[in-house]
Amino acid sequence: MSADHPPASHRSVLLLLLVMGATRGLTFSRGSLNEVGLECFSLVLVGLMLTLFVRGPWQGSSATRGGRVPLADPAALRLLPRVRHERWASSAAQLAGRMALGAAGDDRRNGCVRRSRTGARLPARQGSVHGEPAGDPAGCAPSAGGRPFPADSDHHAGTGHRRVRVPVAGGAKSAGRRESVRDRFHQSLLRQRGLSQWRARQLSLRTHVVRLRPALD
Amino acid sequence: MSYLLACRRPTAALWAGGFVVACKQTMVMLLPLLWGLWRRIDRTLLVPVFAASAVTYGVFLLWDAGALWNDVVAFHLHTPFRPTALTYSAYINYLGGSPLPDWVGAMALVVSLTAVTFRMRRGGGESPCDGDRVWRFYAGLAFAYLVTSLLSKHAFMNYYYLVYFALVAALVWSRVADRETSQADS
Repeated sequence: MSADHPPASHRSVLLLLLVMGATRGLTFSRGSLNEVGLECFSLVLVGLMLTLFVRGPWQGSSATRGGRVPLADPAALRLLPRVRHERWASSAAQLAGRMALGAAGDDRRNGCVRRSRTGARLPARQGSVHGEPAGDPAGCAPSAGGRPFPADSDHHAGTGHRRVRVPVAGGAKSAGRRESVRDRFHQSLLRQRGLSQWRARQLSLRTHVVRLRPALD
Repeated sequence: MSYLLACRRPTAALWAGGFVVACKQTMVMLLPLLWGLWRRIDRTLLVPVFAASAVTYGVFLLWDAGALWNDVVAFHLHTPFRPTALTYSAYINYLGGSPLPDWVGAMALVVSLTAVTFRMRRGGGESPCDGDRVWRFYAGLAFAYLVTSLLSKHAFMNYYYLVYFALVAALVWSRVADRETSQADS
């Protein structure tokens, strides 16, 4: 930043937010009684009190060199590394999820095509015989690296997408809940179609082998 | 006034402030803020501030002082409560309560003006055109007007527009203060 365009102090940023709040207040109220307008101007009032009466380096005085020191409160400085760490961890988890989706996704990107045992294309049908949810074309549910997955695997219903799990704190418990709900769903589907779990798994494997055969050839 | 302060012409800015005071009677609250901005009182400052007001109000004062008082002050004191105004009183009335008494708005005006004026007299540079002092002037004006409007019995739209433009001026002068601080450090 040059001296002509110094970084905005936190005071300037707060004033900018107050101007935006006042704009919203005027837009909503138009001078008449309006709850949103009253809330906006109440927030503006609190912000103005902070700006005017809470002194400190955050105001952008000479001690902060135009607000380049982000926070002067020692308590805030102690909390700052933790906030940064958690943001970094969140971004890393999202990045891992994106990479896993990218690695899984040739067949997902190419679209789902249902094939018969001979490789001929068949129209998608409602429901399936191998334990997959209704509306999902048989054999087109993708998996990482083309690996077939059994009927009770982690699979989005009807979307053709394989769910990629990103390890997060506390995720095991919620994942367990998801598994149990999905299992109950598949069990009810199998009971409706009169198929045993073993038979459904066998049909699922056979379908995936047929689907992969042209690629192996 | 902001333009003249930016041009580093404080006397001309003071004349502009005097015209603002002469234009609207509620702008009398600008007087303590101008004192907080200049931080001194002498004849060279009082003349520009009160010259225009002396001309405009003086004519009517000589003509009929009672009528002037009734029109400028008593009229506002006897204006009825407006239930659709953007005020806390109107909202309390909307919720079923009774509106705030009149003295609450007057008290808020006095307290906010006093607090802002004393806050303005500390910090900042030597000149009244210093950015660190001028942004406080405009933010203080917005604060005093907003407190008074929200606690009054009939706040009209133009008061909130005045608050808005004072906030915009405070933001602009805050950036000027950032620049001045940055240049002083480099």
